[in-house]
Amino acid sequence: MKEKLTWEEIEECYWHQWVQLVDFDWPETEPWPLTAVVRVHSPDKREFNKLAAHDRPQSTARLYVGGIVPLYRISEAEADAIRNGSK
Amino acid sequence: MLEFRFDPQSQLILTVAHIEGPNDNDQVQLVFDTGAAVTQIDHDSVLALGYSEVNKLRDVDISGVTDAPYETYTVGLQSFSTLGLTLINFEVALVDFGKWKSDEIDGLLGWDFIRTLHYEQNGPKGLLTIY
Repeated sequence: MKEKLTWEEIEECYWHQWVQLVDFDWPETEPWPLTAVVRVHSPDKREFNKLAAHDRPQSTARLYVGGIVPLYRISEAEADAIRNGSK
Repeated sequence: MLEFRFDPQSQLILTVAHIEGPNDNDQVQLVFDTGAAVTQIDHDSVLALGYSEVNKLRDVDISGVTDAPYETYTVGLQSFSTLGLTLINFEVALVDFGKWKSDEIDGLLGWDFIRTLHYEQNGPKGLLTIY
């Protein structure tokens, strides 16, 4: 059984690698998962695809660690604060 | 109304999409790309969910500005969700993104999806508002 890691630990261990995540906690208000289990990983996309497809669980997430921050939800109040320059 | 945040210094806007297949489901990262006519997803990612050429809707040629046309096919995803919107049987083209250097992404969220949104983008502030 692989260990559940925080996003900070995933970044530390798998920087600039593709990771397939299972058992992840990824609220839409967060750009990255808060915690997850890394099932397979590789810096090479094609190798990663092979590993990720083998005996894959039903529900997964895949992402590149150290890549661009994806869109994430914020509240209307937070958006207004950013628009007004107060955040 | 939905408010989303992105990095205004980034060269690309990425969105996380949830896709469901006959067997499994996955979350992938796609570039928000109004310049792509059709949504394109890494073919290995899609095939891993249980899709195959049996699910082919049609053959397509993906044309870039500098590349020769890329021959592939489309499938209808059982469910495709991103940016607060879920589409059923959403047609996407399967592309081998490992062939290009853009290998930190799983595909492109194209104009065929983006055109369904009423949205406002504030680039300098890094805000995307969907009405």
